[in-house]
Amino acid sequence: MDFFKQYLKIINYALMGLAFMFSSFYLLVNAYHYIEIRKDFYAEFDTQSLVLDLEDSINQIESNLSVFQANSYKGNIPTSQMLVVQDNLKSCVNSFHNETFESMSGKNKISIVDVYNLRESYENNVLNDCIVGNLHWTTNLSDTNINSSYLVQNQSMINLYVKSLSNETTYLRNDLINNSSYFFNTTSASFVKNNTRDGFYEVMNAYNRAANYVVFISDWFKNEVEGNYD
Amino acid sequence: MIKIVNTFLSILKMFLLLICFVFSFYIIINMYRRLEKDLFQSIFNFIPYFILFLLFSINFIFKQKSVNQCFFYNIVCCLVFTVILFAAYRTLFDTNMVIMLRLGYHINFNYFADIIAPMKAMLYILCVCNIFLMLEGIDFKKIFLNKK
Repeated sequence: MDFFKQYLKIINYALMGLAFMFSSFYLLVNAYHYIEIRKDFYAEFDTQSLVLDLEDSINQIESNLSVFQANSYKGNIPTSQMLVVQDNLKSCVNSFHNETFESMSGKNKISIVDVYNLRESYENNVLNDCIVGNLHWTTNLSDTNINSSYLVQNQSMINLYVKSLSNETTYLRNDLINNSSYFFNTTSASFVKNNTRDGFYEVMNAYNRAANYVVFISDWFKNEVEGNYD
Repeated sequence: MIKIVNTFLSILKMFLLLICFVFSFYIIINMYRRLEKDLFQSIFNFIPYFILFLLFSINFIFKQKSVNQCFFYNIVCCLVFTVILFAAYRTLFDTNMVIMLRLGYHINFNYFADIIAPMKAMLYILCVCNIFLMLEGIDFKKIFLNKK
């Protein structure tokens, strides 16, 4: 009987060791993951170079738009169409200064939730409202809408650029959504990647790329007003 | 000293078991309700809790020293329940997990779904270990001699 009890003891302690191993692993991996996703990026939002670049781009758009005066305009494109374009570009400026972006102003700590909110506002305000809602006509130019030879010549480049903008933050979105999974790949990736900081740079780069596109259209608008394409 | 620690741990593990059950029950029931699945099916997730509660009750009622005074078993029990509680806390309150914001359910079902299988595995292991410890404590020689 003692022989049986000895074997029972060995099996029992092996099982308890297994449970100890399992629970220790899950406790440590959860604790590590908990700390990892709480890592904030300490930086002043307003002084970040990508934010300053974006502000410069928005200022450039606004200065390009201020050139147009409906009364004195004598270009090839009808005044009514130019007024519509001006309105579209103004709406785009407002899209960049969306509620989420404005709420970030003055912050000196950026969390993973801020990055997520910025990405959502990029998709909702910048992509949907500005690029798709207001500047969709740039991807489908014809004589019936804007008869501009400069834009028509660059049509394929414009289409490619707009297409790339629409997929700009897809990887970031998937990465952010998957941050609730603590599998090995996530934890090992964190040695070479800070999700909050890198995500912030990624989303601000997307903002800048979209702003550059709006700058490109506003530059054309300004040249059209000044008669540089005649 | 070790006796006091073991007594404390054996009481603590009972409390932790009950707390773990309450949290797991709340999360899993909500999970099944969200998916409009049959709530009766969720009972299979709680079977190890019921078994363990039954075994702990037997340990306490019959004052089984082989279980209650096993330091390693008590530590492992507390560790397992701590893991489950930590997972439940994160499921309900860790807003840094973005999927919680994305889905907007205020409970991170995706995260907890990952922990259900290991949770059940660990609880079943504790059940088996408890039964083995009970068997170890039984004096079979005495029983057989009394029968003869």
